[in-house]
Amino acid sequence: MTDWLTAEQDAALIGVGVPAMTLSFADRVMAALPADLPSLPIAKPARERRGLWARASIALMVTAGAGLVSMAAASTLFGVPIRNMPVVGPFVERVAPAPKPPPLAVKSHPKPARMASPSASRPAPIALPVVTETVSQQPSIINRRELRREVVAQRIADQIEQRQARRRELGLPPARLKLTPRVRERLKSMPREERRVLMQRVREVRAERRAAWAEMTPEERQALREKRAQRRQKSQDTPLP
Amino acid sequence: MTVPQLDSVVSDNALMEQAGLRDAAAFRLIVERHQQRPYRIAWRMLGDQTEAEDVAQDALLRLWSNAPSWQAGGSGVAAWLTRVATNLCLDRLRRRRFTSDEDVPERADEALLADAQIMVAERQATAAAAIATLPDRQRAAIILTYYEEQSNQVAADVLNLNIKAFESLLQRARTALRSMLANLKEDAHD
Repeated sequence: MTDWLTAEQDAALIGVGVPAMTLSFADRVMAALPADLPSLPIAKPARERRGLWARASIALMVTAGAGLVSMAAASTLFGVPIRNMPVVGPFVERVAPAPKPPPLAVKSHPKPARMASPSASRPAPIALPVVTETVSQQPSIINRRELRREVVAQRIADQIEQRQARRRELGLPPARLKLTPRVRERLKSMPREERRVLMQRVREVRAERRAAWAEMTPEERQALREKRAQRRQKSQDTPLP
Repeated sequence: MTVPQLDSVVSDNALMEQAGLRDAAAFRLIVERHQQRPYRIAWRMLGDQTEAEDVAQDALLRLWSNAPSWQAGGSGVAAWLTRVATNLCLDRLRRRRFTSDEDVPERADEALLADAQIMVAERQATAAAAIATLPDRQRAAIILTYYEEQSNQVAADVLNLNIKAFESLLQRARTALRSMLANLKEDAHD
């Protein structure tokens, strides 16, 4: 009985009962528990689960590393390795010297000629082998040079051909080749120095002719053109010697 | 009288310690010992047996989840379940209000309808309807203090109110309930 309710009200409220729970309620709760299984044993780290090949490779690497480390330690940490081991050999030899073996037959080589030293105080210069024979040009170098020459000649011929083609397209008469193939062959067969002198002379002559052409009157130029044409005609008819 | 109660608290703490180690048998003892209180509160708050059992089960499962971090010497398992069950009921009532326009269902009168008990049954139905008509928090205050016989301070803690606010709430609940049960008194006199 409470002080804020009458007896009837209190009885009515108390009479409001609660129905009984389901009998299997506890079982239902236990079945609904989250599956918190006991903790699994600690898994082995991946390093331990490696295969045999991995273990073997690791062992090999460790061995190699240990070897390298020991070598480095032997050469650095422990100082210079012991070279003069105390042995009894020298003592035995001092007491009873062993007979010297006969000298071995050494193949004798001619010693290279030495340059005379300018003074006795100076150290002797290093003797260099003296080349007694003239070294001829090696075939490979000659071949390369010829090949380069061929390439340059071909390039020049291509340029000449292109120039002629361009003139034909423009409707111009074909330009006279400054060096005909026959002349070019002649130049190629000449010695180098002789060819250089010749070409220099050709350039000088051309320069003189250009200067003279500039000073000519139109009549003189026309007369010269005709004369040149006749000469060209003659040169085509007459082969070079 | 005090010693068995103290033993019971210590025993609960020991069981909770075992439950924290995921001992299901120990937790089953906890369930069997404390399953009635959350169920009663839920039934009186919600008026539905299935929902009440759901709330009780939910509260107990939360207790299992919190068992590893259970700290002995607190208010005890019963108080913890009371708080959780009450708040679960308030949450359900709040959701029910947003999802449905229907009133709280009338509680089924499970008393026998014998002629001799017709008057008693009608009184109890009237009282149950009066409790169901109360606002949620006022109903919780009545249930905690009247039916579960909790002190005002404990009930205030359960509802996250200070003692003054709870006493004001309880006063309003009692006044409303008394006014609704006034007809019952008149009927009884009639």
